[in-house]
Amino acid sequence: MHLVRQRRTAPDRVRGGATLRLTITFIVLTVLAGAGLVVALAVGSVLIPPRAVFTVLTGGTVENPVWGPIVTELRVPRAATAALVGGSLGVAGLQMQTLFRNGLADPYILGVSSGASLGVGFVILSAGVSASGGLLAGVGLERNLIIVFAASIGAMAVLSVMLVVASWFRNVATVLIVGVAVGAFSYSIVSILVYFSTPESVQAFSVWTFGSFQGVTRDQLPAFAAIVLIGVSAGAIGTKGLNAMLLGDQYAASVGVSVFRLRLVTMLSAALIAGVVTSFCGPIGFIGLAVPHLARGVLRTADQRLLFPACILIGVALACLCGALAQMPGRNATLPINAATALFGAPVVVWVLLRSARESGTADL
Amino acid sequence: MTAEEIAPLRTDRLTAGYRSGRQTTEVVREATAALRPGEFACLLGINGAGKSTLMRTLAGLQPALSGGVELDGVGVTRLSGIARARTISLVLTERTFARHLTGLDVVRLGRHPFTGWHGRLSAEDHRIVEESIAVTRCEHLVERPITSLSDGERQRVLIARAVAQSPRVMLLDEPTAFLDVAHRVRLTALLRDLTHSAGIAVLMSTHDLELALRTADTAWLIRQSGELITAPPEDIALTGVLSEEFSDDRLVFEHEAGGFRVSPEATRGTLRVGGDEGVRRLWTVRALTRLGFEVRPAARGESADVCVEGDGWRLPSDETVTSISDLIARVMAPAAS
Repeated sequence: MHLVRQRRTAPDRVRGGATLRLTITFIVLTVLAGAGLVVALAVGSVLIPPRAVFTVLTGGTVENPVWGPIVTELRVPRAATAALVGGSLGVAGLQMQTLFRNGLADPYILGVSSGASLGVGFVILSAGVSASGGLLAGVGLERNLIIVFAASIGAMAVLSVMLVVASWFRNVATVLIVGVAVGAFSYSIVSILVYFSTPESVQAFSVWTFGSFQGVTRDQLPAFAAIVLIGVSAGAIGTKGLNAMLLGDQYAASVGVSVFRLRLVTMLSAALIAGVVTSFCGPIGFIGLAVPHLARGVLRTADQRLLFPACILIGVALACLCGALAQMPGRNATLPINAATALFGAPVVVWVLLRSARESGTADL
Repeated sequence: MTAEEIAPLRTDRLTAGYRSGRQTTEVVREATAALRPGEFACLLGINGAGKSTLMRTLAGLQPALSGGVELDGVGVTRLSGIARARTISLVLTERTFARHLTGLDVVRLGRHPFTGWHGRLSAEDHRIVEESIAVTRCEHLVERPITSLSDGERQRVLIARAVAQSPRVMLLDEPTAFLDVAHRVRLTALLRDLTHSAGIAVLMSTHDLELALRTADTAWLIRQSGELITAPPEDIALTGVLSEEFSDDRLVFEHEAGGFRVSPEATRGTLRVGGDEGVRRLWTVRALTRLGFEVRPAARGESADVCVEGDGWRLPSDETVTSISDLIARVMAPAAS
């Protein structure tokens, strides 16, 4: 049974125009993500002509025999890692901002990455690591999975605490400050663990906290990619429900959303992403925060089903660019990734805070 | 009533309330009531009587303390979230919105229980969304961001959303609370028309007692005792319980007039009013009552303190005044001296 009065309105045409614009936007975003990957592959401490990079990737031989291994063993894993980190952190940021109804929520700012670090710290520092390579470089796949698991547990714990805090305080800035405090608290426990650890562990750990896309070796890449994809896929299931959550929990429940289950799935997805990214690459800041805002700005929509893929594409592009920037092309030194991400991420924080202060005092999405 | 007109919403000895810690607060006790298709009911009760609690319990968002709520003959707690959402839709007081969320996005959320995992709308869904927008007359609002709409416009969009859910039952928790009188009347009239034309069973809670009494097919009154009375509003008015429930020392519900009277701080004595019957007499009584006089009709042969005559008022001094303003000045003068 449904209503009365047949009425033909004109929005079919409007909808057609919107669809075209949307299609073009997504094509542009895909091209940008692809361009980001190309830049990430082309740039490194050793100058290799882009043409030679392409030749190596397509299986050809190049004049300098060193270039081949550099591209396949270093640049491919690094570029793939940057893409996976960017896309997944963009998704995690979107999920957290919707879940917290707070435009400043992201795994880094709310201390979720620190929670993950704590998990990593417990496993790594209790066993000791070699200082060479990344934090996880010297250990086998099984240990890697244990560390990822511990990191996800840590992330989930902080996420749960922060959701409770957010339900007490509606004020965005308050939640933010508590998040920073929880992050600092987790970090101080990690520091204490470090203090009692071996000098090698301490060194590896402090390098790790700067953030790097070089921590994933070629052998680890498949496992890393698989876990990231599981986390992102779990998030994709929740997009329809998160749309209903935009009107609030009660409205969501009234249209048939199981709010508790949706929260749980979304948190598990975000925690897994934050956990795996943090264990392999260190706590990476600002990507999760900035990417959803860029996506909303470009698409001018609140529809999670559109923002979700857009966040993946923009995240890939942004993380690849940050990775390339951190490489300081042609120089034999790398910047911490967080230095590159903060360069554009910090202004976004300020912009969102100012906007929320000017409006209602809560940074709605 | 035909067989297919089985009440889509029915309560059976329902006790609604909430538990906090060990304390249980019952707001409605042992209520048995039913809502039929095409019936526009208004839920009344003083502040804190438990209107919102009863609404949430009826909607299955909160468990009943005892007894049950049936939607189309099935216990609301035994329905899945989706099945429930396909029968009952809500307009709530919750006001959380997102930037970039347009009116159209909000209305489309009404189709949520009918779409697949990805939430894609079918042609049929789009048609229902457009119809819902048309019957609630908010075509001009749906392209705008929801945050830019006024309270009244937003309520209209939220009602369109509730209609788009193709419900059998619609519950609205104080949809007119933040609206001025004109918008309140318009929205209430819209809801009543919708109810009658679409055959939805509608229950709306409201503070506007007088408007509810004029528009509702049925009044649901939560008494302070926790009893729920459901009857046509006039029947409830005739029993006199409205004045019991809604009057206090300053506010009096006059069931003769069907409205509230604010009782003044002190009485200034009694005035006998005589002369012509009609509108002029009615407003004279109101003015004098407002000033704090106890007004009595002058008995036949008795001399009146104010006599309504033609276009004016004659006073005992045989002086005639031609406006309420002058009348007030005269009758207040002795009181001041």
